[in-house]
Amino acid sequence: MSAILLLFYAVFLSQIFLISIYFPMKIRSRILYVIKNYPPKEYPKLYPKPYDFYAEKAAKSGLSTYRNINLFIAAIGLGILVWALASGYSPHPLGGDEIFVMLYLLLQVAPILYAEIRTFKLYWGMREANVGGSRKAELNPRNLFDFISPAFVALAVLLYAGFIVFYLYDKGFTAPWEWEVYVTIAGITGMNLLFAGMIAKHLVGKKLNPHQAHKDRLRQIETIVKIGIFASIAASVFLILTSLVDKYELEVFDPVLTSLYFQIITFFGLGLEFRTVKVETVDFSVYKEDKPVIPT
Amino acid sequence: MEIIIDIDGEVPLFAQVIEQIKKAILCDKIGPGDALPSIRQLANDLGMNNKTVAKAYILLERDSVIQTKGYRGTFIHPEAKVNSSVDLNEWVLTKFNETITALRKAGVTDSEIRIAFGNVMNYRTDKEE
Repeated sequence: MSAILLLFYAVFLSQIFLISIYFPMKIRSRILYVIKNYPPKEYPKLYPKPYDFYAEKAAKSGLSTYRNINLFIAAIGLGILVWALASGYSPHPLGGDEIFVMLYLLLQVAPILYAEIRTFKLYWGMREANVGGSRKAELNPRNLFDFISPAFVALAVLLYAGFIVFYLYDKGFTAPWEWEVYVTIAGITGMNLLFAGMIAKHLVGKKLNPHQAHKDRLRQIETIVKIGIFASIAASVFLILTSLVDKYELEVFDPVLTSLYFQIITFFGLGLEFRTVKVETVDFSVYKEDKPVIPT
Repeated sequence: MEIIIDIDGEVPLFAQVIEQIKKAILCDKIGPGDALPSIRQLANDLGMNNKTVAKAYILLERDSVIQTKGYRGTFIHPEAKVNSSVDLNEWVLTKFNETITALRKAGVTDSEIRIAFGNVMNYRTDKEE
């Protein structure tokens, strides 16, 4: 077996483990920890909808289904690997096989996205239930550089500009270009604008979770800002590397590069969230019933 | 420094924001030159309309409690502590009381005062438009 093939199998195996086993397991254990340690009786604001015996049973069965779906997707991945080994597959020397890596990745991230949507719906329910009462806010402005070093932001901007210059240098500076050039430039620009919008929304936008403690919100904003800037840097580096790979006719590495790129994004994205916002350190006292105000 | 707004309270929301910021200044929780959050940030944090916070900021700026420095943001005014203790509403009430007492002494009836007040206010509003 060639070194390229061995590398491909190792990277694909790591993708299966990281995205379909490791992170879903962390997400599941996090939710189970919250359900176990913060029951609806003591923390009613955490459960905007009635949480009776049947709701608890449904939640636990949903978590089991979530685990099983991820394991099933991991099994599909392993099946693909076994099939590739048995059929003597090797990445096409002219590239193009990265599309299969991306298609499998889409399948892998679907349950994670579903979990995110459910979390968003939970926050939405909390916001709907949070009518009246008192609202709190800090009188301190939040700026981008309170959460990340300006050097990283500068690096992200420089790499974005660097990629555009490098790409146009490669394709020739004189317009008109092929449609692929416009799509690539529009794609990376749109992606960076999306990251900028996501960061701005978290910095000055409405709180997703209306009860979140101030220190937890700051940690969450820091995580989002770092993920956004890091993802922008990683995207530019990835595109520069794939352009170099194409230029020097090393397209055989495209599937490995694509898989590595998405694994790094997931590791530093979800991984950073798990490291920065540890569930054991989150202030859950905000979900307790409001104490009645005794007039003085 | 945290401010707390009572959504169900009888005091208008913009007045609560003004009161809380003035209170923070008087208690030395924030001082001259300290930056305040943008209107959008504070409105979103409190789950309020931007216009409500903007109204509070405009009135605080009028009273020289805060100052806006263009794109750099909003800051606490150097004379904020002194100006925070001035209650313009109280001053308006005192002035009206004095004037109305003087008018009544001169024999002007309450309805004449109301009509005159309305005319003066309408004239001012027409001129502003």
